[in-house]
Amino acid sequence: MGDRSASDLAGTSGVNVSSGVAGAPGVDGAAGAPGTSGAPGIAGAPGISVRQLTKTYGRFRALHRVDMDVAPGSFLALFGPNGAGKSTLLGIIAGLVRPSRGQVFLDGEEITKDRDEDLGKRIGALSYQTYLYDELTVLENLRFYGRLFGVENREDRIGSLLTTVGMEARSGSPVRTLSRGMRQRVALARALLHDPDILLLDEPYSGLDQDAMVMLKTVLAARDKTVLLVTHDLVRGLESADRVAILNHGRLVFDAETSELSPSDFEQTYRDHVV
Amino acid sequence: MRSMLAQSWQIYRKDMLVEYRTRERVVTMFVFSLIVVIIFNFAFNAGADVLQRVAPGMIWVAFAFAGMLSASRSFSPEKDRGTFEGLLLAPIDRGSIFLGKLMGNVTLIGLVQLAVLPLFVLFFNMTILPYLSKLLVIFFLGTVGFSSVATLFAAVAVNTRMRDVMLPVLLLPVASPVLIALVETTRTTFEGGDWQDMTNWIRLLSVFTVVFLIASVMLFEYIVEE
Amino acid sequence: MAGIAARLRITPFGLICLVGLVATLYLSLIWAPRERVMGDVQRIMYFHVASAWIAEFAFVLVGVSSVIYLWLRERRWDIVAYSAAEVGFVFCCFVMITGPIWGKPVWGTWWTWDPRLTFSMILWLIYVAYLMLRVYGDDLPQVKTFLAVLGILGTIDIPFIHFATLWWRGLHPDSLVMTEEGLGAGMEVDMRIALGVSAVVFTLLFFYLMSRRMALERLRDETEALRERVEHRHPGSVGI
Repeated sequence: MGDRSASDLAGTSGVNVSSGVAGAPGVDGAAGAPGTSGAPGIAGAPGISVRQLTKTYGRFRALHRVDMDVAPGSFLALFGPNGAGKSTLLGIIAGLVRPSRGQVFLDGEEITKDRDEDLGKRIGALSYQTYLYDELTVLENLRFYGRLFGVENREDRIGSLLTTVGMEARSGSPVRTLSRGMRQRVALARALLHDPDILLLDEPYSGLDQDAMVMLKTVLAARDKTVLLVTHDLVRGLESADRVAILNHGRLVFDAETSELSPSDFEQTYRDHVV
Repeated sequence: MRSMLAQSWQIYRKDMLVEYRTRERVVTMFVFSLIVVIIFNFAFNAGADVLQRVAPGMIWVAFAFAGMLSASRSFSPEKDRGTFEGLLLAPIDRGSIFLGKLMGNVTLIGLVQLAVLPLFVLFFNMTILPYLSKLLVIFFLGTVGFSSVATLFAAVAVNTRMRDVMLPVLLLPVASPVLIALVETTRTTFEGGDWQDMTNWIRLLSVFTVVFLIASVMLFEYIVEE
Repeated sequence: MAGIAARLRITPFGLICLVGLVATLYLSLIWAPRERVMGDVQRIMYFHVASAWIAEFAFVLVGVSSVIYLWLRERRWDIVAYSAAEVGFVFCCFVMITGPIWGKPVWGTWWTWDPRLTFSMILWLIYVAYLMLRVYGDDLPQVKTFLAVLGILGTIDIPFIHFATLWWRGLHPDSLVMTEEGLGAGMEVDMRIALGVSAVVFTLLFFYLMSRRMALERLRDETEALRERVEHRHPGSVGI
């Protein structure tokens, strides 16, 4: 687990969401490839740089020239109404979606050009979908993904994660028999199985019970991962993130350090920006 | 290449385990093939000699549709429950997802063929034992070739609004050479023909299978990317 | 002349095609000698065979541009594939229509599963699949990729369909009224010239129609881009 004080330092100064997107001049020019951003050695978590990212689905423009930087080991919460392009952005970073234009860099290395198989090893994804097979048991699910992700010391790793999420007693149960909250806990274990250094969270709180929420917070508090969180839940997003950003109609319309914001006013700020 | 096979083996094992728990695909495919055979019998309403002549065509119509069922069901639950994304996130060659699915489809179609063929022979009063080894080769080749295209197009069709209609529309014209070859070789075999009576067809089946298998593995990666 | 052409929006290329078509009509319907066995009905061959050539050629073009599209991911290659498929489909339909018209007096039946007709039928079905996916997959983000994949597989499939349909009928020689050798062997030199001219003109016509179809698709893209810009300037006011 990461060095707390060093990470905190990164947390307060690291995230830099470029603000000159919404119609500001000068963005149109080709944004140069970023150098290896951020201080090295923060638990190896990479910085993410997004440059002029555009994705169109036929006539629908999901993302439009988004520029964004997430410093190594920091936590960015991304808000926005439905269809604002949040999930598309996560999909592109995860290598599931091919951008129409623009690039994404991990530690200065472009990942959007050709698919790099090893990208999957660095990314852990937790979404409202659990990625679990109903017919298989908890253990079978985790073993399957463990093999697929090439996890070393698979059994030990699975065992310790199941203990962490408090599911070791149900490891032999088919996922179908678990409650929504329990499934989400297993999904959390699944996302952490290969010890990724980037976490992409897409509405992870949906269905997460109180205990699981605490677990997720513990994982995030370790701050040894670069985290991108997409959520509707302004309060939860605000309390864990170092920085927040708002996407609307595929554009980045707002960003700020969490420390500069007061939680009570943020709801109004959000409304002002998404209307 | 070796890691690709190992990865596809993992996918295959997982699919077979799921299928073993539910038996959904095998049972529906079996019942479906059986119904096709019986309905064809009504459709022709003819004597044993005519039925034996149309039998190879009947067999392959039944298996082609059962194969489409299998291919379609190898993707639709993954897509509908969101687990497909879980596979795509894995650090593996995506061609291995295709290979795993293909192996599963060939296995399930093969199982259904093993179960339906004896009934076929029974219903239509045909002789099969002397031709068994030849049929085995033909069926295996044809099933792999047909399933390659079927699996690829199923991965396409599962995204469309009318996925159940789209799969046969996309698949059957492209797969028609295999189907023709399969019917012809099966017919020749049942008529007591030897390998040299169907050299051309066997060659076509083999080349088709190899070419479309390679093309499908290569193209699959493009299909699954949004 | 040029004024009329401009008003009718006929390009020089289109004009060449028009002249070529008139020449083809003259050569095949009047100039070429009457076929001894089949009579005047054989003259449909000049259009039937030329269209069949285009139908096959167009799909190969779909396949080639599909490969380039998957490689470069440039919209223009998708446009080439789409236009080739649509125009090729029209020629393929023409093959399917002229075939039976020719076949009825010659074979005594509208349809026979002769290798060439069967081949064209399967090719026609692949065209249908391609265009159906284009239309019904309209809402899919990956539809262009899917179409490229279908275009490539369809093109690879062409030789297989060719041999499959040929050998399939080859096993039943009694129904083989006209083999490929038979078709060419009985032709006189003048007939071959007429057919050659027809094939060249149809090829030109195909490229002309395709260029118009591509221009149309580009116009649609431009319209879409303009609409985007208007919407962008006045968010919310979609109706223009």
